[in-house]
Amino acid sequence: MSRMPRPIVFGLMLMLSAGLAHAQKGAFQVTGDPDVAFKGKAVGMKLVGRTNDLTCKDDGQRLVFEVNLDSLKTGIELRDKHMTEKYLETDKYPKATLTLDKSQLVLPASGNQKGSLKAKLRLRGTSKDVPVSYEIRATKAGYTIKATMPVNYKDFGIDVPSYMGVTVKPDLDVEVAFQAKGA
Amino acid sequence: MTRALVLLLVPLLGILLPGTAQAFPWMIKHGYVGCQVCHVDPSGAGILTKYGRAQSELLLRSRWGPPPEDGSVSKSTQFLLGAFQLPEAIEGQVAVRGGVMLNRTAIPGSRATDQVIPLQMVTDARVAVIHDWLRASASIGIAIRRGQAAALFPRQAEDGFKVVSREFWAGASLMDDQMLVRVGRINLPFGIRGPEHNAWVRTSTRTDINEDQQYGVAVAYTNEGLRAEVMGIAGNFQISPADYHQRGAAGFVEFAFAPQVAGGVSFLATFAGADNELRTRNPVRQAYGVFGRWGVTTDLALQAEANVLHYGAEDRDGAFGASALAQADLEVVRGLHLIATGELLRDPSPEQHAFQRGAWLGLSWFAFQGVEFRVDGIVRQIPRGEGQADISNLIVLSQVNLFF
Repeated sequence: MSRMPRPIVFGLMLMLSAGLAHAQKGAFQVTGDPDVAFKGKAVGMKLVGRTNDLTCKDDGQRLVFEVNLDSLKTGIELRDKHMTEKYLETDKYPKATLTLDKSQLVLPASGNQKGSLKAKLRLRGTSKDVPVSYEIRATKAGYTIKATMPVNYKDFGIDVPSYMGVTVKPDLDVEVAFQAKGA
Repeated sequence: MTRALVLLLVPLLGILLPGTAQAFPWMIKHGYVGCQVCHVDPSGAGILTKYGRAQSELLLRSRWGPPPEDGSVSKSTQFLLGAFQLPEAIEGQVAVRGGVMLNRTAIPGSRATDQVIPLQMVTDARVAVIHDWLRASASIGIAIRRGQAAALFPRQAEDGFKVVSREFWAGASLMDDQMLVRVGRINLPFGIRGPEHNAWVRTSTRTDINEDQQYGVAVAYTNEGLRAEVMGIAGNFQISPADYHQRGAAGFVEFAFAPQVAGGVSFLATFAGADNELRTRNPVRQAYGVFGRWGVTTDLALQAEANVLHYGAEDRDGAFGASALAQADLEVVRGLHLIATGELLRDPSPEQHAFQRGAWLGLSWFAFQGVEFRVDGIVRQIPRGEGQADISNLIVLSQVNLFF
């Protein structure tokens, strides 16, 4: 078996590492301490579930945000247990993902940028387009991003959460805030 | 030595004596902006719903071990700690609240006087029906002293043993449980309904949930962010003669601006043929107030209420007054609350020329299922008039609340 000449190997390695470096430089990354919250309602109460377990994958064309659903906390352990085990079934569907075309996101060079876009939310094995409203502020380190989207849990085949006569209404508001860098 | 011993023993005695399911407005820190989730009364206090019983274990009391593995709540959250299984549509509760009060009053120029008063505040059995659209609730209990306004019999005795019924009403739940129309003897809807039933904001508006309930018709509305109740007051038919019956209306509306922030306004206006306490003719009593609650964190809740009062009668000129309360409730560890309260009162009946000032520091411990120990130190300064030093009043109130 013939061996590749050493200069060619070095050349290929150099090109590969340069390419990787370029990809790393442009990749959109979540930094800092992200905050993901869903807000639900029932008669006489408001329910907030929260996590900071948010990651983002950038393949150059699309951004895929992932939330680890097991990390959501609502302030009552038993409610968290019912939410993850009975309603979200996180043993089968551990993550919620939001996928959007990178081209839809307008990142400002400076100042604020508000906008809206359509993204695909995958939750409990079901995907559905959801409208996302966002506000991006350019900072020295990158961007501060806030986004909101309405989610109807029935659209994702989730049973109506009910406990001893108290029922959470289907319409939820999801709010996300995080720092990011890259483009 | 003897006094020191009394000061030490009074809180301990309180722990040994018998207590009530109460209203906890600080639950807003957990997103509970309304009361009907946990209470059969849509404006709070009294008998609990099944959900409310569950929260008494999940959020209220100290935890002494891991939660049940199967995702349920303990059987001890049920009626009488689970000793009896009630039908699905029936809620039951036994409530006892009692304790000891040490009251020291100091009038400048006179020797301070001490009183040690054993208290039996509530010894009630309560039942409620929640079936389809039907809602009903009633309580019956005994009062060893006072409780005259809630007495079924005997009715005229101020002190002495009485059979009391604080509330009994029946109504219809409408609009997917968002509205309740009810008639009967009902807690007056006004301000923040909390456990400090003898706070000045409650006594000055006569909206104490221990015995100031009135007969009438009430309509309550609660949704995800709004709660309101208006009541047409026909009078307290458990006192006589009919001249004493206060008639009129009371109500409040509270809006939740955020999951942990709510604010509202209240009103009360009543008239009667005579005032059974002040002996005036045709008294007209009015109160208008604002109130707010804020769950700053899951450990700290703030609440405040301020009311403008007006009292007038045929044989007395009208006078304005005011009452206010501000309170911080810090849950130091789960189930143990440190409560700091400030309050003001300028009573229009009789008219006072300066504000009474009060401060409370309390420790409340929901130690076990349906068991609360509470000790409050209360200091009150009561002005006597121009050029005269205030009367000082120190109260150490120890109580035990049992609600099973």
